[in-house]
Amino acid sequence: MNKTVLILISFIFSFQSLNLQAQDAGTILAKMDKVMFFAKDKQADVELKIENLKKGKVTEKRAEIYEKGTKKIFRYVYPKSDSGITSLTVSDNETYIYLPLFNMVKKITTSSSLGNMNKSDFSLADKPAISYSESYTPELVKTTENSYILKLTPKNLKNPYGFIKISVDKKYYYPHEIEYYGKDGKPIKKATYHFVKLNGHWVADKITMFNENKGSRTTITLKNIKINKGLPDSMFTKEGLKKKKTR
Amino acid sequence: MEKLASFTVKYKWHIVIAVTVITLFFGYNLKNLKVDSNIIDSLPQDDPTVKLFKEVGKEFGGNQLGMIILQSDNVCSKQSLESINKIIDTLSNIKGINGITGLTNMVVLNADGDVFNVGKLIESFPDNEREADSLKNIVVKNKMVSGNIISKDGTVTAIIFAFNENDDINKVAGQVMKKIEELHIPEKYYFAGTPFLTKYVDLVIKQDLIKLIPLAFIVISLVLFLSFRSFKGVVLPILTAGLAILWAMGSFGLMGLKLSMVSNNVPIIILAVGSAYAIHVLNRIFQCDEKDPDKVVKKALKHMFVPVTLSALTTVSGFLSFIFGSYLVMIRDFGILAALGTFFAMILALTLVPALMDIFPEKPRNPDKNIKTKFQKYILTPLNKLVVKHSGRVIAVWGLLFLTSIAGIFMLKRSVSVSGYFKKNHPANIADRLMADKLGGSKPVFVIFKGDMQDPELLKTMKAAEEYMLKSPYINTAQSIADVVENMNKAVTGNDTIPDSKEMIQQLWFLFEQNESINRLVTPDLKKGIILAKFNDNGNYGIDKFEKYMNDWFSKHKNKDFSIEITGMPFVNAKLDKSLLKSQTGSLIIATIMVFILVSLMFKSIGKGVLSTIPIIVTVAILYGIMGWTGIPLDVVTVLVASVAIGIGIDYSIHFISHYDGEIKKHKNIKQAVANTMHISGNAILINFLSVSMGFLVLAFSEFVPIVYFGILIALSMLGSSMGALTLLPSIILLKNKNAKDE
Repeated sequence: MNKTVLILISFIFSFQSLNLQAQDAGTILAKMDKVMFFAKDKQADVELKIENLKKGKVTEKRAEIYEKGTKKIFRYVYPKSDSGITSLTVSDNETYIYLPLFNMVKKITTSSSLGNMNKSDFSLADKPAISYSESYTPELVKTTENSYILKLTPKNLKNPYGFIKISVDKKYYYPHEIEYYGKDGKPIKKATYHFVKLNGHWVADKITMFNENKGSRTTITLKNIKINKGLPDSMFTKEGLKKKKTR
Repeated sequence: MEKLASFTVKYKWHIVIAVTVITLFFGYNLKNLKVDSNIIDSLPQDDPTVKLFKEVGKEFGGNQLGMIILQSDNVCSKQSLESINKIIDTLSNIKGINGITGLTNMVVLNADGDVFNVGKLIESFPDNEREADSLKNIVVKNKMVSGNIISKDGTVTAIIFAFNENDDINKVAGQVMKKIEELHIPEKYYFAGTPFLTKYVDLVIKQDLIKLIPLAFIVISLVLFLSFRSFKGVVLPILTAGLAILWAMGSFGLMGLKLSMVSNNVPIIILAVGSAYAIHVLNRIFQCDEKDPDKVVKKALKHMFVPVTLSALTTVSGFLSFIFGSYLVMIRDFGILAALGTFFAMILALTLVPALMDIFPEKPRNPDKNIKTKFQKYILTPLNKLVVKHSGRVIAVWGLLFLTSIAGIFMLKRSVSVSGYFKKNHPANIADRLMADKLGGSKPVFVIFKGDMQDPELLKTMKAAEEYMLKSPYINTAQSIADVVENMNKAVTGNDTIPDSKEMIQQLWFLFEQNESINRLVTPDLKKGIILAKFNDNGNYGIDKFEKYMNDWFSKHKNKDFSIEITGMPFVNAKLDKSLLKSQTGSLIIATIMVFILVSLMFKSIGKGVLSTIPIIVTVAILYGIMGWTGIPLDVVTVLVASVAIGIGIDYSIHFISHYDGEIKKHKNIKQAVANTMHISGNAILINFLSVSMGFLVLAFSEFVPIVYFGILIALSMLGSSMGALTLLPSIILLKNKNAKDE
C-alpha cells in the first residue's frame, strides 16, 4: 500500500549532517543513524514519479506528508481522482486509509510475509524501523576520497536482502548511494540521494531508486520541507484522518 | 536426351567430384539450419485474430500461459507447499517469465468489519498431516482458487505464469523444463500450456527423426536388396535420397529459412520421393540387354530422362503449390524444402546414379532371370491377365472404392488439440487432461474491452459478459478488473456490486492499483482491459459454437463508448485449422491442375494428361475416405499427406504411360504394349511402392500420433496410386481401345 511511499519519504527526512570524523564501521554507521533520525516531526510536499523504462510509461502523483515519531500521514492532492485520500501508518503492518467519497476509514493490516508488492521500486524493507545500527552488522569495505563504503549484513534472517552497500559522505555522514543485494549476492536495485541544508541540518530532497532487473525507476522529490514544527499528536489518529485540511 | 546421356557418360568422374564438393558445401551449411516451433510466428501478422492475440500479449504481459501442474495426496502438505515455493522461486529467476501465480504467493484481501487484511493465501506451512488436511479444507473452499489453482479435491495444483511476448518462447519453455527438472521435487509434476506443448512436439519429432529415419533407411534397404538382389540397387537409391535431403537442408539453411513442426517431416518425404527416381533409373539399367556399360547407361538415360524429369517436375509443382496462397509461413517453407529435395533427387538420379553405374558397371544379368522376377511372376503377370480379361470390372471396383471413399470424406474429423497429438501416457497428454478435468482447462481466452476502464457502465458490462461466459459449458474460470472493483466495493461498503459513480471507482482503484497483478487485467493507461478465462472443450471442437455464443451476446451489448472483442489460443488454433484446410484444398487443386498441364505438355496430349491424373484423384479420395471411415483426423501433419500422395502417385502414372508410349510405338499392339509396360515399368513401380511404403510404415512406431497416421496413410496412398497405375490405368487404356484393331 501507499504506506511504503510514506515510509520512504520519512526515510529521506531522516538524513541530517554531522560533521564528525569516523574511525570504524560501527562509528560511521552510528553517525549516519544520527543524521537520519534527528527530527521530532517533519512535513513536506511530495512529487512521486514512477517510470516503467521498458514501456516508457510514467505515473505521477503529488501529496502532502507529515511524520512524527514512527507515525506518518500521506494526503494525496494529485491526480484529482486520488485527491483527499489519506493514509496513516502507525507501524509496518498497520495502516489506516481514509476514502473521502465513502467517508470511511479502513484499517489495513499487511502480512509481514508479503514482502514488496508495490508498483514503486521502494519497499518497507529498504529502511529499518529504528536505526541501521540495530538492524545491520557493518563492515568498512573501502574508503574513497569523499566516502566510506560500508557493507551492512542484516541481523534478522527474515530481511529480504543478503546485504546492502552504503556510500556514506565522509564530511557530513549522509548517504550518497545505497545498493541492495539479494541472498544470492546479485544486485537488485540502487538508490541515489540529493541533500540540501535546512536550518543547519542536511535533509534529502530527492531520492531515486533504480531497479535494473525490472527496468523501472521511482523518483521522490520533496518541496517546502519543514522540520520540528510541533505537529500535534491528534493529527496522527483515525479521527484526524477525516479532517479535510491538515495545514 | 542423347546429348545428356553422352555428357553423363563422358564426364562421369567430373559428376562424382562435383557431387562430392556440393555435398561438402551443403553439409557445412547445415550449421545455419535453425528450428522455429512457434506457431504464432508462422501466422500472417495482419490477420485480425492474430493481431488481437498479439496485442493482448503485448499489452497484458504475455498471451501464452504456461502451467506447472503438481500432483500429490494433498498439495497443501508442507512438502508440497515447499515444492511449490521452490518452483515459484526458480521461475522468478528465469528471464521471459512473468505474472507467476501459485498457492504460496497468492495475495488475498480479507475484509472483516473496518479491517482489511492483505496477506498471502497461505501464511504459514502446516507442520503435520492434520494441519495439512485442515489447510486443504480451507483453501479448496476459496472461490478465487478452487477449480482454478487447486483442484476441488486438493490433489492437484497449478503454478500459472505468462511468457513474455518479446522473448523466444520456445527457448524460455526449454529453460523452464530444465530448471524445474533440476529441482528433483518428490511430487509428480507436468508442464501444460501451448509453449510446453510446442516444446514437446519439437522434442518428440527430433527423437523420432533420430530413431525412425535410420530404421526407415534400413527397412528400405532391405526391401531394395530383396527386389534388386544387388548392392548397387540398395546403395544408390538410398544415397540419392540421403544426398538430396542433405542438399535441401543445407540450401534451406542458406536461404535463412527455419525448420518447423511441419517441415521436420520433409526428410521422410524426400526419402520416399527421392529414392523413387533412382529406383526407376536403376531398374532400366538392370533390365537393359546391352553389354557395354556406356551403352547401357546411355540407353537407360534416353528412356528414363523424360519420365523421371516429368515425375520430378510434377512433384515439385505439387510442393510449390504450397507457396501460393499458403496461410502459414511454416507450410510455405515446407513446400520450398520438399520441392528443393525433390529437385535435387531428380538431378542426382539423372547424373550421379548413371555416372556411378558407368564407373562400376553391373554384371549383365541372365536374360531368363531378367524376364521373370518374382514380382513379374507372381504379381505383374496375374495383374496383366486381370486387366486384359476384366478391364471393365477393374474399373467398376475402382469406381465403387471411389464412391465409398466419397461417403467417408463427409465423416472426416479435424483435430487442433495439440495435446491430443501425443499418446495417452505422454506427460503432455496427462497434463492437458489434468488441466481440463481438475483445473478448468489450459487454453487462455481473452475478451478485450476498449474504453474507459473506470467507467461504471463498461465495468458492469464486463461483469455481465463474464457471468455469461461462465454459463457456457466451455468456461469454468474467468477473472477481470470488474471482479477486483466489485470485491473491493464489497470490502468497503458491503455491497457486492460495481459502484454507479466513476469517482467512487477511482477511490476503490487507489486501494489496489499498486498491486502488480492487475497489469494482467488492465493496461496502465486504463484504456483497455480483459476478461481472462480458460477454455475447456475436452477436444470436442467447441470453439466455433463458443465464438457464436459470445458474438451473439456482444452484438446485443454494443455500446458507443466502448468496444468488445474476443481472441485467444483456441481461436488462433481454429483459424489455423481452417486456414490449413483452405490452403490444403487450394494447393491440392493447384497441384492437380499443374500436374495435368505438365503431363499434357510433355506427352503433347490432353488425353494422357487426363489419364495420368485419374489414379491420383482416386487415390486422394480413397485416402480421405479411409481417414473418414477410420476416424483418423485431419491435423497439421496428416493434412499434408494428400500432396505427397499426388507427388508420388503421379510418378507411377507417368512411368507407366511413358513406357506404354514407347511400347505402343514399337509394337503397335495395345495388349502387348500393356504387358511389356507391366513387365518392366511395373517392376520398378512395385519395388518403389514396397520399399518406400515399408519405410513409411516404420513411422507407426513414432511417439507422435500424427506421425503414426502420416506413415500409415502414405503407405496406403502409395498402395492406392501404384495399384491405380498398374490396374486402373491399363484397364482404362484397354477399355478405351477395346474396338481398336490390334496389329
